[in-house]
Amino acid sequence: MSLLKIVRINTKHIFTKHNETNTLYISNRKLSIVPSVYDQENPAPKFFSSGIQVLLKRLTRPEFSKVFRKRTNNNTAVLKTPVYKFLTDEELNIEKEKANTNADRLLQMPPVVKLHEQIKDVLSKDPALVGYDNATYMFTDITFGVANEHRIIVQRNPDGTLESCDRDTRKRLNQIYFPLQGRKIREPKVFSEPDKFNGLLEGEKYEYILDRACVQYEPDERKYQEITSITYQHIDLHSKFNLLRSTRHFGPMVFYLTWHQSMDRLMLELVQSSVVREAVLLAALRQAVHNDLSNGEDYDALVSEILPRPIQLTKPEILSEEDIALDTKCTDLIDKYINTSSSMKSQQALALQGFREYYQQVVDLSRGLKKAHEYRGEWVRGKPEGAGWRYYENGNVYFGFWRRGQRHGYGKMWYADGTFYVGYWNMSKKEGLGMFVQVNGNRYEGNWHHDKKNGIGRFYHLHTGQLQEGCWQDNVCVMSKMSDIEIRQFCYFPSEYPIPPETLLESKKILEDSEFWLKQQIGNIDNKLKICIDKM
Amino acid sequence: MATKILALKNFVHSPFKVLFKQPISFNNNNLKCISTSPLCCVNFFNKLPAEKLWKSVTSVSNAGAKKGRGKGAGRIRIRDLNRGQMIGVGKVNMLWPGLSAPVIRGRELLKQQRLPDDPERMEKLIKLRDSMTKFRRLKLSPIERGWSGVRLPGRSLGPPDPVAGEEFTGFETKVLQLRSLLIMKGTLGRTRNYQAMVVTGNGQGLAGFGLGRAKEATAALRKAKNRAGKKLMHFDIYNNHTVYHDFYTAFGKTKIFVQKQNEGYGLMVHRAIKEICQAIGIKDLRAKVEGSNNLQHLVKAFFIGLLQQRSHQQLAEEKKLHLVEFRDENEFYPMVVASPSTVRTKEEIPKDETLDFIQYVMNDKVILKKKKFPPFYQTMPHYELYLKKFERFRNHEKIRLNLKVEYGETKSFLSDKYPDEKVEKDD
Repeated sequence: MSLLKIVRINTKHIFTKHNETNTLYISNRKLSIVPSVYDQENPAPKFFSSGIQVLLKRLTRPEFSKVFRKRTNNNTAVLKTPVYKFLTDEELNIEKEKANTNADRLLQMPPVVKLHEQIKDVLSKDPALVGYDNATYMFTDITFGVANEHRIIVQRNPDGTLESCDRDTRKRLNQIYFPLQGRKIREPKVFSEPDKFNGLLEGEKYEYILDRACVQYEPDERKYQEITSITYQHIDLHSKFNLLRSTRHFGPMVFYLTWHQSMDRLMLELVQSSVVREAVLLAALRQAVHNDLSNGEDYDALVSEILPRPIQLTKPEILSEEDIALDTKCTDLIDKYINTSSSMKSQQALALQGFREYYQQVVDLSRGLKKAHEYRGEWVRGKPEGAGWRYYENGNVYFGFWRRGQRHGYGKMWYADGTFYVGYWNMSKKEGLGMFVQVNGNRYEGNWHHDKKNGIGRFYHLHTGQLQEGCWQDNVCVMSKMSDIEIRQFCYFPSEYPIPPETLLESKKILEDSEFWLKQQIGNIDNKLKICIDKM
Repeated sequence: MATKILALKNFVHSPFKVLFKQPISFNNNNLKCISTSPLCCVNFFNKLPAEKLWKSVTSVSNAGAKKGRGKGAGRIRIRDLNRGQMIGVGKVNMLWPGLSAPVIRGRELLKQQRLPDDPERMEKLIKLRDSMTKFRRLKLSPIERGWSGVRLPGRSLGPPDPVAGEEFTGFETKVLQLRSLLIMKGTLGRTRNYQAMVVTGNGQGLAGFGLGRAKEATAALRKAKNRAGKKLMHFDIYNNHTVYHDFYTAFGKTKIFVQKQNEGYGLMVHRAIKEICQAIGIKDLRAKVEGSNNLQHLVKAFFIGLLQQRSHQQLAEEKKLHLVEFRDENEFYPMVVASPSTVRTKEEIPKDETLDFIQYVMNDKVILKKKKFPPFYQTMPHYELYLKKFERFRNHEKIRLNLKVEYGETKSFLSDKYPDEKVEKDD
C-alpha cells in the first residue's frame, strides 16, 4: 500500500507539472498562423476512403531516390558494408517488388481523425470511503497483450467515486508501463517552447517536426493537430511543398489544405512546375472531399485515365500523341477550374498561360522529331527518287541517292549501333564498291554483293596494325594475305612480332590463280576505291 | 677529472711562474726550505696535446666498436674545456685594463685591481661543460614523424624529381622500408649497402612503388623515390573512397585478405598497406595479412591484388547476371550497379556454380575468424559481484541526463519537499 502511495504522490506531482505546460498556446505571431483542428466534422471516413487514399498517394509523387535516401545511422559508429548479390531477371523483379512494399511502408500516411472527446463515466460511488485518504488512487490493468487504447485505467477519488481517467493521465500511465520508443513522458521542449518550435519552422525542418509529433502524440490529440496545422500552413505560405514530397506527410498535408479550402497555392505550384495531371488530381480531391465543383463527373473520368499512367518524376522531353491528348484535356479542365472555383484566379491563369506556351514548344519539338524520321529530299511519283535524307525509326540515317523508294546508287548510311557504310547500293542492298567501318575503327574496303562482303577486298585490323587482303564470300574471308601496316607500332594492341616479308614465294600468283579471283571483274580496284572514298 | 685538467691548464698558462718559483723562494727568510734537486713537473698531462688525451679517454677497442660499444647513451663525449672561458678572466677576479677591461673609462684611467671573487663562476663553468656531454635524441614534430619516432619508415619524402620537365605535382612519397644490407666484395671484403622501398602517389588513383639500393641511405631513398615516380599505375577507386570488391591476393608466402568497407570506416590495415592506400586515395578498407609479413612481398601482393580487381560491369558480364547492391542505410533498396548485355535465366545456371558474391570475388578463399574469448576478469568471481553491485546503478546516468535536461540540475521529487537537503553536487 505504501508503495502505491508513493507512486500516486509521484504521479500527482508529475501531473501538476504537466498540466501547467498543457495550457501553453502555440502560435506564430510573426506569421499570424492560427492553428485549426479537426473538431467539427469527422474527417476519418473521407480520409480513409479508397478513392481519396489513391489520390493522396499519387499526389505524394514518390521518388525512390528520396524515399530510400540515406537516413541517420541508428547510433552505429560506422555504416555497414553494403551487400552485393548476383541476380537473374526474375530475382531482380522480386527484389523490386519487395522494395515497392517497403516504399509503401515508409510512405504510410499518419491518420487524419477527429479530435478526441473527454471521457466522463463514473463507475461507482462509495460514500464509505469519503475521508479515508486525501490522495487519488490510480489502478492500471497491466495485463500483457491489451492494446493501450483499450486498457482499463481508473481512479478512486478522495470523495469515494471510482471513474475512468482522463486522456492525459491514460497516456502517461500507458507510457510508464508500456513505453513507446522515442516518446517522452514529459513534453519535449521543441513543442512546449514556442521559440524553439519557431526556430525549427524557420529552418524548414518540417519533416523533423512532423516525425517527432507523430511519435510524441496520438493523432486525435489537440496538441498534435495544432502542431501539424501550423507546420502545414507554414509550408503552404512559403510554397515549400517539394520538401515534403516523397514523404509520408505529404498526403495528410494535401488533405488538410483541401479540407480547409486552401489548396490553391499548391495548385499554383503544380501548374507552375507544369504537372497539370497532378493539378487535375488535386481538383478531383477537392471534388471528392467537398463536392463543390460544377462538373464533377469530368474529373472522375479524367482521373481514371491518369492513374494507370506512370508517375512523371521529371518533365518529359518527347511526348507521344496519347500524352498530348491527355495533357490537353487536363489543361482545359484546369482552365475551367481556375475560372469557376479558384480563389487565386489571376495568378493561376497566368501560370497556366505560361504552361501552355511551354507545352506548345515541347509538342512542336516532339512532332517535329517524329516528322524528321521520315524522308526529306526529292520525290518522283509519290516515291523518293534522287538525292535525299531518311531518318529511320530505329535510329539509322541514310543520305544518298534513291530510286523508287529504295536506296539506289551512291549513298552513306549511319547505323544506330555506331557502324558506318559508304558506297554503292542496289535496291536497298549493298552492291558494288563500298567501305564499312566498325565501331572499333576496323574497316573493310572492297566489293559487296547482296548486302554482304563478296569479292576482292581488304580489311584493316587497326587495333593490331595488320592489313588483310583477299577474297570474301558471303561475309567470310576465303583466302587472304596478311601484312603489317606502317603504323603497327602505334596501335593499341600491336602484335608482338612483325610479319616477315614475303616468305611464301609467288603469293600474288597463288591469289591470282584462285577461281574467286578469276570470277572478279578485272579492274583497278585501288583507283575505284580512291574515287569512292574521295566522294565522301 | 675536469678539475685536474684545469689545474694542469693553469700550470701550462703560467709555466714561468712555476719555474721561477725557486729564485723567489730564495728571498724568503726561511732558508730551510731550499731544495737543491731540480723541479721537473712533466707527466702525461703536459706532455701530450689535449686531442690525444681525450682520445685515450673516449676510444674504444676495435673489437669493442664492432660489438657496438662507445655508442648511444653511455658514450663518453669530448668536451671543449675552453668554452665559457675568456682571456683575462680567471679564478682570481682581477681587472686587467686593456685585457679584460678598457684602459680609459670616461676620464679615468683604470688601474689593475682585484675585484671581489665570484663564488658561482666555477659552478657555471661545470654546468656548461656538463651540458655538452648529455646525449640528445633528435625530435620531430608529430606531423613529420614516421611510424616510430625519427626512424625513416613511414616518413614523407616529398614528390619525385621531375622527369624530362614533367613535374610530379600533388605527389607524396612515403618510406616503407630502409635497411642495410651487407655484401662481400672481392677486394673490399664486407661492405654495407642500403636498400629503400618507397611508395609515391597523388591520392587520386595514381601510385607506384620503387626499390633503391646505394652505399648511402639518402641516395637509396632518392633512387627508390625516382623509380617509384617512373612506375606509376592507375587504380579506379569505387565512389572515391574504397575498392570495387573484396579480394584475396598473395605473393610468396604472404597472403592478404582485403575487405571493402563503407564510408567512415577508415583504414584498418597493416601500416605499409595504409601508406599505399593513402598514396592511392583509398579511404576505407580492412585487410588481414596471413603468413609471412615480409614487407616487400606485402607491398607487391597488395599492388597485384589491386590491379587484378574487376569492375562491376566486368563481374556482371562474367556471370551474365545483374549485380545488385543493397545498403543498410538506404533500407536495402536494390540498386543495380551493373547489368550484362544478356542475362541468364535460372535454368541456365548450373547447380554447383558459386553465386555468393563474396565467395566469387575472394576466389573461394575464406578469412579465418578466430573465436573470441572473454577477457580474463570476466571468468573471475569478483566480476559477478561487480555486476550484482552495479546493477542498480545501470540506468542512473541516463536519468541524470534527463533530469538535467528537465530541471537544469539533478534533483528528485523530494528536493522540493526538503530544499535544504542536497543529494549530490552537480559537476
